[in-house]
Amino acid sequence: MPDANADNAPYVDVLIQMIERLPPGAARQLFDKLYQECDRLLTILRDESLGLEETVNTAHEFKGMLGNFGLSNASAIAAEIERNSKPARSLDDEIHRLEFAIAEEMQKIEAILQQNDS
Amino acid sequence: MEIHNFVSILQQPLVSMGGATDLGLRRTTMNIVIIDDNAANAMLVETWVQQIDDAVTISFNDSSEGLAWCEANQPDLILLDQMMPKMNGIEFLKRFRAQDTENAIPIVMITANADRQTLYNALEAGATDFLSKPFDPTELLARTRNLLKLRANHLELKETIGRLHYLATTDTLTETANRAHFFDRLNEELDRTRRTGKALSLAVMDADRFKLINDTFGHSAGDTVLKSLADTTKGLLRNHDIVGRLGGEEFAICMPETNLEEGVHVCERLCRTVAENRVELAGRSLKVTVSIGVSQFVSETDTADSLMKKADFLLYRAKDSGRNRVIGTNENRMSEFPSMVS
Repeated sequence: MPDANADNAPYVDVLIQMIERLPPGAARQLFDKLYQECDRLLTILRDESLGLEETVNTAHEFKGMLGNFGLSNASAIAAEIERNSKPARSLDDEIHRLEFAIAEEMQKIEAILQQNDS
Repeated sequence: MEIHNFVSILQQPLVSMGGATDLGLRRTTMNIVIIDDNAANAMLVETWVQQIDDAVTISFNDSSEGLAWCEANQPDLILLDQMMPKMNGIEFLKRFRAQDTENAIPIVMITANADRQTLYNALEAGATDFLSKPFDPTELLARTRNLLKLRANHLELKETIGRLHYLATTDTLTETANRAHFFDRLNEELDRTRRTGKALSLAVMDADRFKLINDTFGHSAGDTVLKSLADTTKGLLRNHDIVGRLGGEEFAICMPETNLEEGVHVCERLCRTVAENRVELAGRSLKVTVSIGVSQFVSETDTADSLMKKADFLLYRAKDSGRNRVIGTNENRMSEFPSMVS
């Protein structure tokens, strides 16, 4: 069971609910799927030939997905990308920040999942 | 596309007559479709709703595939993402509701665009409920359970209405129209005949010496004879002809777009077939015959009642002439029908 007092980030609440209410192993499977989808969406965002509409839609999808899993910091950066996308404007910095925020939150989630597995 | 328990969905009966489930539903399973282009979101929603005991889920990442499946399979609940490539949630709603005109299948729109305009658009397009991302699993499950209960109630009500309609319109022994429904249908056909100027024939058929069958073999045997007569009659007629049981051993047949000559011809064939088909009763083979009177719509003043009286009068002439025969006329003069003016 994750220690909810250690971190009050939304993903802790998401994890607690999953671990308490879903079958064993479900939380792990769901976050594995989230990893995969993050990879897929980051690859799309990094594509320099991506048009404005596709960028906005991908960022929107990212925002909703990360929010559903409680990765609020990463979701907020995805929302920024959705809001601030403009033609010919480089999003390298935002994408880098997004990638970093995902890695940071995922690391903490992984620690909780491993704690729960043991 | 991910499919869970897909085969079991197809194999399970749509409506169970068994006891209530933990949702309080009479049905054994409720089919929930999740449509979200994002695989992680779809899996998250699906994993949560699978916690409902009676739910069987199927998810689609492609909204067009999801729409095709929903149109073909009529699920019990759809959980729909709003922003999707190719076809977004609003477009999905419009297309799906175009064929689901009763709005009978609940659809919950799930979106990260929680602004009022998106909400209005979704509701106007036919969404039943709305859920914002990030969603709260407890709220998702509560809304899903509530909508599944409403869906189950709707299906039970529909089934009950269907049953009541059947009981109100059908003679349950012979599975022909009952008297009231036969007259309703006859009047509709007469209206059509007046509009189109086409022909219409009406026959009244009575089992010969039916009282003797009942007295000799019992009422159960009489019921078997009536059912056999009805089956033979329905088997010989066209789909748009109408057969009704007027009462006792008397049946009526409305034959739209059929003139007297054709109507008499059909009834003669029926009369012959009935006489040839013996009815099996507790190891005994019984010959049953019928007498039939046939009248034809002739003038604007003809009504269901007047046509019925003419056919009925001719039926009794057939009886008086030796039974097992058909008599028809398109005569419209009242003097030809003394029983009507007495």
